[in-house]
Amino acid sequence: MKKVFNFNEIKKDLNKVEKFLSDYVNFPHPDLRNSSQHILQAGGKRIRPAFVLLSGKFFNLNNTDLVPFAAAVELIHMATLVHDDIIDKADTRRGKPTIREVWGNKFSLHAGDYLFAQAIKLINPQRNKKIAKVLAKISVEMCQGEIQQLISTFDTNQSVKDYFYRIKRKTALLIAASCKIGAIATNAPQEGINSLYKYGYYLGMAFQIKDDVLDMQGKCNVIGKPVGSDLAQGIITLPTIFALQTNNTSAIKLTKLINGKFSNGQEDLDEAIAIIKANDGLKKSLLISKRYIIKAKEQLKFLPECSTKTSLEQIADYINEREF
Amino acid sequence: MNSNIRNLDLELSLIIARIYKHLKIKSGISIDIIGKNFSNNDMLFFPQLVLLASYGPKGINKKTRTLAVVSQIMYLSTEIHNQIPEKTKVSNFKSKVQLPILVGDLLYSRFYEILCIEDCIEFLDDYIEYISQLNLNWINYLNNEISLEDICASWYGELAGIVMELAAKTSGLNGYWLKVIKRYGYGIGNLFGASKLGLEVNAVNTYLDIVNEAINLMPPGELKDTFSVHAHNLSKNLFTDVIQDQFEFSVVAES
Repeated sequence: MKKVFNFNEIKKDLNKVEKFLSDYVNFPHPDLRNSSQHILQAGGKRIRPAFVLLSGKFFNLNNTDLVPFAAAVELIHMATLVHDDIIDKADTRRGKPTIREVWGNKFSLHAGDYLFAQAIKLINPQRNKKIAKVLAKISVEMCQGEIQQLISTFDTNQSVKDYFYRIKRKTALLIAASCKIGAIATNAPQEGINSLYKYGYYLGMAFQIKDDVLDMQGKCNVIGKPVGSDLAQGIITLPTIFALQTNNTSAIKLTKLINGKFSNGQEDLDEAIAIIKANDGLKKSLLISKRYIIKAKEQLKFLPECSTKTSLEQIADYINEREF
Repeated sequence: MNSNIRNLDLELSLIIARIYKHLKIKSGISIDIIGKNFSNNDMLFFPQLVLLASYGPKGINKKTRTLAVVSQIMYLSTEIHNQIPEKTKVSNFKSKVQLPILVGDLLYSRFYEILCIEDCIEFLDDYIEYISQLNLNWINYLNNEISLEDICASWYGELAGIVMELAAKTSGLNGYWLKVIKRYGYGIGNLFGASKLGLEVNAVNTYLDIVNEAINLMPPGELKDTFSVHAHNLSKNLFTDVIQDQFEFSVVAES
């Protein structure tokens, strides 16, 4: 059975975010409305809005409405997904045809830009300057991470540091920002904001490393994409970097397979994954992921005791154990 | 006059240096990695408009300089995104589609970040409205619902109008001048766009009329002369062979 995030504590608020988003993307332009509803209905884990809501629970004495902020974070994520699908030439996302598949690349490009603008609008930057600043900074970093990932495809000389540079920007910072936004919006003390930000950051790093491990060891029907699909696209992740750093002949073979862009197709890819596994690439990566989980949980010690704290601990554990 | 020109040149150089600083990424200059060459006209057009419009009592100040930087970055972002093809060869996909999408996104985000960091968030609403409308119009254009001239107006005309109005306002101008300068910006932006999009002479003449009309609405004086010279030089630069004979601004006629 698939394990899922335990967001029971904020289930009602997450439903409100869903409703808010559905109303918000009800744009007058029919194509924009239909395409936005299309991606919204495709679902998703809604991790980012959940972290805005959960972080906001610690210090929300004035009962600030966090729903618009949570929705804005998800909208930014949606905008990036629309562009990612063009970049990845993806035909389906979460089992549904992508926007580019239905409406075309150029339409998707403009729809993504439009969604990003609407997300900024939703933040109301003139009134919420601190939150606007956090999102602006993260948006820049995310793009830098994506560019770096694209530039470094099939590059076997990458270091662990290069990998961390990418995943920090690609994944960790938006989760960290989601936590920070929830805290800022509810006027949390600076120490609380910092702890929640670091929690989100460490969790995000662990999440991405686990994702990269699952890409190679998950079952196709569970992870929802072919095994080794990132590697097939030339994305060099931590397990591969560890295997490449091994001082033996199989590491040389792995370099050859990657440099040859898996010219023999699945056969080459399977061989590469076997080498990565044999050289403990997955095991070593999981150890790093676990260390990040521990660091994330350590940050929770600085936060007040409440049920939300337990939820955040459980989420960290879940990331460690998840299989998809 | 000469020292003013020198000062403007210096201002412009400093603004361009700031723009390039913001274009830097880990692997170099973002617009270079997509192999896109922007001409001098491309790189200077919007900063020049900001400096031109900053004619109020507060003159060129910290906020107008930031405005010049973000306007140019916004423009570059639209230029990169709006030229991504629907289909391309597999071998070109990275350079023609993937990287330009990400670099455009980066510049778009950078624009937003600069406004937040440099405490210029009051400019944001106008730009958000601009970018929303531009993308809506592109979608309408893809559906054959509007013309290339409409895109030109929405893309270049509107941006130049907004940029000049905001610069004029920030420099302390108000009321009548704001409207006239915005109108001038709209016309001159369209002229720039017409040259970029290769629009027909008729469209160019319409935009020239808008520019002329805006200049004619300016009371005689230094500002009017400055705008006239700017329009004359720019159109000469953009359309060397096309419409010079029809293009006579007041200051040229006077001289």
